Amino acid sequence: MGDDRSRGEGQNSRPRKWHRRWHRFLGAVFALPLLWLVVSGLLLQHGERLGLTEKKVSSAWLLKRYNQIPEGIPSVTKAGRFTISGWDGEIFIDDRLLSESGTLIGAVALPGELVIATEEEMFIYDSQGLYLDRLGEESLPAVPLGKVGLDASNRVHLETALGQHVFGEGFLEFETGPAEVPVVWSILEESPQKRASLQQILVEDSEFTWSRVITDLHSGSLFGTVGRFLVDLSGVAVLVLTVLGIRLLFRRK
Amino acid sequence: MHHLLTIILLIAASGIAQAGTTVYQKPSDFIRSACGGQIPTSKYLTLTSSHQSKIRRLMGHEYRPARVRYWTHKGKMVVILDEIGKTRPITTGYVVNKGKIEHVKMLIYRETIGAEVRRTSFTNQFKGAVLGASGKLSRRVNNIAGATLSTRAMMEMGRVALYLDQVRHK
Repeated sequence: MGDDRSRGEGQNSRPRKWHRRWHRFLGAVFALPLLWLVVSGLLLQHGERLGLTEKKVSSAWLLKRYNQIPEGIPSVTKAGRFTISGWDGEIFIDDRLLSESGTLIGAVALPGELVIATEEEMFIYDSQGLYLDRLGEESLPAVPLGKVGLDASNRVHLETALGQHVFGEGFLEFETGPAEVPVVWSILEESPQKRASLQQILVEDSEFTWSRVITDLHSGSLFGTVGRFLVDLSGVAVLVLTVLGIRLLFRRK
Repeated sequence: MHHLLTIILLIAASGIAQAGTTVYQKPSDFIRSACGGQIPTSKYLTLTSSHQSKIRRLMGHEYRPARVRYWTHKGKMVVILDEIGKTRPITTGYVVNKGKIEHVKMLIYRETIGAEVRRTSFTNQFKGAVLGASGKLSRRVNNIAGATLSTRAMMEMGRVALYLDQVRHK
C-alpha cells in the first residue's frame, strides 16, 4: 500500500515538475520581451504628454531601418554656383534636401534659372533655389532622359532614346535633331565622401517621431518578421504561463 | 528549449513595407484624350503673390511649383495638379470648360490607402461644378469613408483648377 502511494505521488509529481520547469523557462526567456511590451505600451499611452509625438528621431541607425537613408554612393554635379547631388532618388541643392525626387542625370545653370534633370522629370528653380516649374513626361520629348546640357546660347539640350532635343524659351516647345552647335553636357561624378554630409541633412530633415518608432517597437515591426514573430511568441508565452501558473497553483492545494 | 531558440534564430528576414506608386493613366495620355488625340503646345501661368494668396484660401497653402502648365483645346483648359493626400502627392487631371469642371481623373496615386477616389462614381460628382464667390465648389462632393484626406485633396485641386481657368482669361 505504501509502495502504491509513493508510486502515485511519483506519477503526480512528474507533470508538476514538467510544469514548473516550463513555467520557469518561459518566465526567464520572455521576461525581457514582456517587460519591453509593458514599458513601450505605457510610453505609447502617455506619448503625447511625454512629447514623443513631436520629438523627431535623429538616429541615423533608426532612420536606416525605415529606409530613410540610402545605401548607395551619391552622384554630384556642378551647375553654376550650385552643387547638385542625387542619392538614391533624393535630390539636394547644396545643403538643402528638395521635396522633388528622382534619379538625377544632370543639372545646368541658365542666367537666373537652375535646371535639374532626372530620368523622368525636369525641375526648374530660380537663382535663389525657389521651385518654379516641373516638366513631366507630358512636357518632355521622351522619357527616360539620358543627358542634359547647355549650348553657348544658354539653350537646354536633352538626349533621349529618340535622339537629341533642344528646348525653346520657357521650355514650352522643343525641336528634335542633332545639335548644330557644341553642347556642354552635365556630367555626374560619384562622390563617396559626400555621403556623411548628405546623411546629416537627411537626419536633420527627418519627419519620423519617437511615437512612430515606439509603436513599431511595441508591435515588433521595426525588426521586420523576426520582431513581429517575437511579439506573437511573447503573447503566446503569457497565455502558456497563465495556464501553467493556474495548474501549479491548484495542484499544490 | 533548444528547438524554440533555433526557430527564433532561423527567422532572419526583415523589412518595412513601402508605399507604392500606381499610375492609372499617364498624364500625356490624359491630355491626348482631352485634346482630340494630340498634345497641344503647353502654356503656363506664373503664380504671383496675389494668385498665391487666393490659392492659400482655396487649398490652405501656396501651390508649388510657381509655374503651372496647362493645355488648351477648343476653349477647354487641361491642367494636371499635384496635392498631398496624407503624406504623398496625388496627381490629378482636370478639364475645365467655360468655368465649369468637365472631367476629373486621378492619374497617379502614391498613398497606401484612399485610392477609392479614382472611381468614376466619385469623380463624376465634380462635373459641372463652378467656383463660388466663397471659394467653394458649387456642387456637393460626398466624402468616401477612409479616404477623407484624398477626397479633400481632390476638392482643393478642383477649386484651384477652376481658379486657374479664371486667371488665364484675365
